[in-house]
Amino acid sequence: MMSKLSEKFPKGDKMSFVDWSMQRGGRLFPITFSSHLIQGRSFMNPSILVLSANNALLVLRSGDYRYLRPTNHLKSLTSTGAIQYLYFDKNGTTEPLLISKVSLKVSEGSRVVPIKVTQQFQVELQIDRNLRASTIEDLRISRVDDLIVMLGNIELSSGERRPVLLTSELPKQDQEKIRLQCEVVIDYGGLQQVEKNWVPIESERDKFVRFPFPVQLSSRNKLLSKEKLSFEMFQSNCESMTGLLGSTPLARFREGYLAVVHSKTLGSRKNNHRYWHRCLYYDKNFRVEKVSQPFSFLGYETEFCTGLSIYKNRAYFSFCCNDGLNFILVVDSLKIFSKYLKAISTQK
Amino acid sequence: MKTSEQRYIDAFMFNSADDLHFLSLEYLLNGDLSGAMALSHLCISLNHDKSTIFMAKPLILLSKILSASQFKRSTFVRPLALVIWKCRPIPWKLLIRELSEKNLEKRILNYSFILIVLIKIVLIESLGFFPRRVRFQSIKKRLIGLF
Repeated sequence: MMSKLSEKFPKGDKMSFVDWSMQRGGRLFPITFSSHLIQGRSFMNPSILVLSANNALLVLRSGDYRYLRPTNHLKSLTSTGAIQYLYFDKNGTTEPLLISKVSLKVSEGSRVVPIKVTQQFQVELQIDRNLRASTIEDLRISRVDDLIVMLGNIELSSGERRPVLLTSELPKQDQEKIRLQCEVVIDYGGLQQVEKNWVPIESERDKFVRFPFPVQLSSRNKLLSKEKLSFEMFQSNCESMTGLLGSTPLARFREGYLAVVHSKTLGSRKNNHRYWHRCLYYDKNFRVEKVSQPFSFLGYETEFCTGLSIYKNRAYFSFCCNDGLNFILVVDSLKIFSKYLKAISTQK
Repeated sequence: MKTSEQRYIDAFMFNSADDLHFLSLEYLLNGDLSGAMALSHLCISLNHDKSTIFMAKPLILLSKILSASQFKRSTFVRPLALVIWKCRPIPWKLLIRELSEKNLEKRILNYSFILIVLIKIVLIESLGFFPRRVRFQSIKKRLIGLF
């Protein structure tokens, strides 16, 4: 519920982050899609890169299935309480992603502005035959100079999931196609069967976060190679933070970087969980300096924030609720926002 | 008439079931079945602890979404039946009235999806569990009683 203006950062169930932000001039953009784009697909996990004051690029995961998750009172929706994966009877499209340009222009005074995605870029993706293009998931978009970088994960023919880095030039006005180069598939000994939690860092080409640890690739290889990539880990104090599962890209903010990370509290049954988010502020050496209280974007049990872009003192968060509702939240009050990021040393 | 902005605010900030239902319908009409499903599911979930009188429309909407999704029958009937089961007691009269208003009464026997769902509900209500194999004759008797 809308509550009176609070000076405290939204904590837990008390107030949603969206509510808190909108009371401070923030705007919420529910994302909808033209029916010709949907065509039996479902879109989720939007990641945003703001290009100018009113324009942004969005990349979304696209699937030929839908989730039906346990929510609130319907916790025991299935015999195991797990997510239902509902696949189409007919063969759906195998396009794994949707990339689109969206306008975030609003009239004065508007707080909630539905935006409709009406066009998508034709994606040209050339990847090695050992990689299954249709399995690309959860790309996080960021920028290094004039390059767009997207880091997600992909399934190899061997069945393992590995981080994949795609790059492209910034699209020009009226450009219809976007060509994605598969720059690197990160593979070295000691990775788990499924490696998902890798995110890009704005303005850094060979540095990533394998959540929560920042890593730097010290050699590059094009496409997949059996040659192991060596990497080094930054000195980081992330070890002190437990239970963090995944993150947005790291966006440049002041002298360091800002990211939204999530953790989840488990319910009594499988997947009967609740997601919580925190904002982290990394210094320029990738040490976590500040952290916010846990918060929820809209109060949904399943929320996934996969995008964060900062442009001229505005933070643009893109997130997905219940695996089917996509939003962008624009927070104007970064000063207030940063005020409530507390030094990590004070967190007990 | 509410503006679109107000509709979204009421749905997402105030958890208004009516507005969630309306938005779910809009998403469905737009072809975004995934969004529609998330919204209608939330709507049902929010209504659950209030009164079953509000349940008929969102339940039917969810059934339409699942039906329109063209999922394999076994995949969508079971979750839907279980959703409805969780919302017991079932507002039978309202469900039937809603179907009638949609001019489905005459077509009901040909409306296989709704029929299957009803059969499943009847089974769950009468047997208390969801059997994998059923005798059609016993279901038919119970259904005749309903109509």
